[in-house]
Parts: sequence; C-alpha cells; structure tokens
Amino acid sequence: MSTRKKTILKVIILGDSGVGKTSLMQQFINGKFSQQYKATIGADFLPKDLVIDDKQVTMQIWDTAGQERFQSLGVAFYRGSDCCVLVYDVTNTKSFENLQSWKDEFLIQANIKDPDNFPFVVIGNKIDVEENKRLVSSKKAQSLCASMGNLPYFETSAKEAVNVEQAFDVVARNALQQEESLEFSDDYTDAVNIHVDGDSYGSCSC
Amino acid sequence: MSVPEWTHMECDCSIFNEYPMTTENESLKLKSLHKVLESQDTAPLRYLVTTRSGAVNREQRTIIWPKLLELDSWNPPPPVPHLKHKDHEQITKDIERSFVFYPKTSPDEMLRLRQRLDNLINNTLCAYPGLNYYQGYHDVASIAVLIFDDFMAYKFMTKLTLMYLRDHMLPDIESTVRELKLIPELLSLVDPKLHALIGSIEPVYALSSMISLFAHDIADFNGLCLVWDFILAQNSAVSAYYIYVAVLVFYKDDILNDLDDLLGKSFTSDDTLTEETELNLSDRDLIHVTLNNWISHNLKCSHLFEILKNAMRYMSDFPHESLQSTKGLSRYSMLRASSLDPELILLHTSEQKRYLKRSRVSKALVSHHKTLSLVIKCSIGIGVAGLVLKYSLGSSGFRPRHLGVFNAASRCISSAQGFFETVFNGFAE
Repeated sequence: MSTRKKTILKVIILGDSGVGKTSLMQQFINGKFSQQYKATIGADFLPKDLVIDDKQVTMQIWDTAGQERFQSLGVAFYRGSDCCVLVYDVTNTKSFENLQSWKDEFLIQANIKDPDNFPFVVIGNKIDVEENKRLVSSKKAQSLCASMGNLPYFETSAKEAVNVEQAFDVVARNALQQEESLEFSDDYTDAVNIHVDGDSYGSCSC
Repeated sequence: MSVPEWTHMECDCSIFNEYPMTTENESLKLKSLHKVLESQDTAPLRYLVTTRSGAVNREQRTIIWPKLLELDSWNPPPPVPHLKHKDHEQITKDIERSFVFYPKTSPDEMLRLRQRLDNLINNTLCAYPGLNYYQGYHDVASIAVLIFDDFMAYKFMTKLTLMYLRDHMLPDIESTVRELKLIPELLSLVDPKLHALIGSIEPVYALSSMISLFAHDIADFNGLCLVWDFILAQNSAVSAYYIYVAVLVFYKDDILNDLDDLLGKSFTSDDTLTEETELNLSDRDLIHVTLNNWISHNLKCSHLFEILKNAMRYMSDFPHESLQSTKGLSRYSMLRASSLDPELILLHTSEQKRYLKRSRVSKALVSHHKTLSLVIKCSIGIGVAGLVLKYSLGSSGFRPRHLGVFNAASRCISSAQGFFETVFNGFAE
C-alpha cells in the first residue's frame, strides 16, 4: 500500500510555546532566522531532501502549536512519525520541566508500539542569550536526558545557527534507522494499521 | 440567521459590483453608505457592505463595523484596572509575535500597539467568566486595535467574542474540532468531487483561519477587512465556514494540480475522483499541508469578492441549520444559540466537561476492559441464540430438560448489563 520510492522521514517538533520550534525548523530548512514568526496554530511541515550515507531521503519536519489546548490535535498528525524532537528554552525553566509531559503525550497520541526504542532528540534552544539569563544548566539538562532513556541532547541557537545542523543530522539518522526498522515489519503490521485508522476516525466523529 | 433572498438576488446587479469601480460610482457608494448609516434599519447597510469594495476603507469601517455589530445598544461590564487574566503568560508570548504582517511601523509605535493589544485582550477576557485564551485570538484582537480607539475596541471585542469566538474559548478545543466538521459536510454538498478527495482528511487544516476569522492567514490588511465586512454583514458566526469552503471550491483546480504533483497521481482528470479515492498516511499528510497553507500562500485579494459572493450563495442554498454537523453541536454553541448571554459560556463548559468525562469513561471501558466487553458480547449472543431456540422449540411443542441453559443465559445478560451500568454510572458521577 505505502511503497513510495523515496524514503520519507517524518519528524515532529514539540515543546512549549515560544521555545523556538518554528525558528529551528526555518534555520535548518532555509538557513534563515527572523524575529517575527507568527505563532504556529495547528500543524505544518516543510520538506528537506538529504543524503544520509548515500541514501536519498526527504525529511518532513512538522512544526506544531505550543499552547496546551492544541495538544489533543496531535492524533491527526503524529502517526507514522520516525523521530520526535523535544525543544525547550534554556531561559525558561517551565519549558524544561514540561519536556517529560510532551514526550508522554507524544507516545500516547502517535500510538507508538515500542515506546522504549522510539527515537527522541532533546534540544535546549536560545543559547545565544547572556549567561545570566540562562536558567537551565547543561548539567541539569544532560541528567534529565539520561533519566529519560539516554536521549541525545543538543544546545542550539536558531538565531545564530549554532549546532542546528548537528542536531538535525542526529535526528535524521535516528529517524532513518526507525523508518528502516518499521519498513522491515511493515508486511506484518499493515493490516493492523488500517484497522487502527478506522477505529480512531470512528471515535473522533462521536 | 439566514441571508434574505433579495440580498443574493440583487448582489450581482448592483452598480457597486462593477469592476473596475469608477470614481463616480465610488463616491456614490460612499454617499449611499452615509445615507443608510442614518437609518435604524441595518438591512440596507448590510446589503451595501456586501457589494464589491465592502465598507471601502478604514475610516468607513470605524463607523460601519460598530453599526453592523449593533454596538449602540451594547454595554459590556467596565474593565477592572490591574486585573490579570489567568492565561496572561501565553498572551504575553503571543503579543511579542503580533502585528507580523502589518502595519509597517517604527519600533516605538509597535510597542504602543502591542501595549494596547495587551490591555484589550486582557480586559476582554476578564469581562466574562469562563473565557480561556487561545493562540489566534491575538490575531483577531490586533485588527480591532488597528481600526478602533481603545474604548470602541473593547466594545467591539466583547461582542465579537460572545457572538463569533466564544465556542473556541472553552477550557479545551473539543467544541472547535466539532465545528470544523461543518467544512467537509458543506464541501460534500457544494462540490462532491472535491469532497471525494479531501473529505476524509481531518479539517484541522482550517483551524487557524476559523479561530482567527482569517486574521492569522490573510496577510493583506484590506483583503482581510473585506472578509470581515462580509462576515459582520451576515450577522452570523457560521459565515466564516462558508467562506472557507468557497475558497477551497474557487481554487479547486489549482489545489488538484498541486496535489497531482505532490502525490504523483492524477486527480485533475475527472474520473479519478470517486468516492473510493484511497489515501495512505503520507498522502493525507501532504493534503493536510497543502490545504493548511492554501490561504496564506495562494489566496489573491482580487479573487475575494467572487469567493464571498459564492459563499453567500452557499449560505442560502445550504443553510447551516439543516446540516448534520450543526445538529451535533451543543445547544449552547454560538452557531445554534442566538442569545449572547455570557452565562452560556459556563453552561457550555460544564456540558463539555460532562461529555469528556463520559467519553473518557467509555474509552477506558472499551480499551481496558476488553474481557468485560467479550463477556457482554458472549452473553448477548447466547441469550439471543437461546431466545431463538426457545421460540422455535416452543412453537414445535418440544420442551427439553436443557432449557435451563436459556434461563442461565438471560441471567447472565442482566447481570452483565447491571455490572456495566454500575461501573459506567460510578465513573460518570
């Protein structure tokens, strides 16, 4: 049913409102930064063609709304994801504390079959700010990532294009690995997936 | 409220619909607008505002919009100084990202505009208990800041909120999601072929346009104002949904062309669009994104009048009262209850809470008690089989000893039913 020639890697960016999800995506895809992005409502993605170890892939980076009330819409978008990027703002403690709940919510809504092995990447954004404005230390962040299952952790500045490429390179590699492992089991799960789709649409319309 | 027949009949014939509009006609339109503004009856004004250039310009709109929204008789509670709404943190984040498209102005002026926007949003949300802030509300309020002074902006926003936005302001997004279903249903009536392709996609692609009354997505201030002229002239929140469908139908060929390229299929040829159009997950994602960005990337303001006229036609051809999706909405919804009593927000909220609780309970029962559901299904199956057997045996006059099994089956049904009800009521309470 879903035998596309080109491999599509679906990546979802999650995190509190204003942490810089749109900026990270724009910096990675278009190599630019603006102070003036509109707040994201709903969900949107931008594609980027990449070559990973001689393999042609298209990475679809999904940008989402950060306000909690929009979280329940994830059911419509998260399915079929190959990697999830959890973003917080190093100047905002609350956005850091919410990482775990973003992760949990993602696993539920994306209906991930094997949560322990699903790839997440954590990004602490806005490291361009002055040191005294920084409220979450690298050490604290690293220890959280370790406790969340040794998740890869990057500190970035979408504004100054620091570490963005590096972070998304790991995202792409992990997504590809996930996609290949799913492809392997596709023959066995396809029928089940169709069934699950039908179920959830039925339950949405009530 | 439905559109009066004559509005749609005469809309095409007006000299004010000619394109391009001559200077004489434009000054005649302005004179006509001033004349009808003197009248108590708003019907002639509503008609004039739905001709080609709408309410014409910003100056006119400062007078015409309050008239269309009937603000003369509107007295919101006076703002309470220094009161901060509970969602203020989120509001602050969004205000930093407001006025992105327009106006192009100095940093100082921008700061003043944002301060005014902050006060306006905060005062309006604090005016009525039960209102929650959502991202996109700031796009709506920023238009009021650009058109009105603070006093009138507050009057305008309080009424606009109760009449056009309140369903999006409950504690969760469920009522908005339910209203969005109007879009595929309307599309199925207006353009079944386009519906065959995109009708099964969750209409979340329309979310930002619907909750911001297009302010989030239309980057041209005059274009957006024209849409608002139309929406306010209709005196009905549902008009936004009709406009959205009219946009999709107007750009149908372009949308299909884009989807042809993206999905590598041929939707443009007529016979490929059937009710059985099969879409995999990746196709669905691509359709979502195409529609999600359609207005912000492709809508041309020069097309708006045609689109708005079509929307008016759909409103009279397919009144929303007759749509299944409307019937499925709460009776407190702004699309069903004509009252603007702020109490409706609270009633709607508690009804929504009860509904979510019930659906959580039934989901929990279904997913975590599959055994229970199996027991119930088996019991019912045995019971039905038993009754059939009993009936057929009874009519043939044969009464075996094993008839006891039927009684056992019926006892099983009633006990399972009793158990189910107890659990369900327990959760629901």
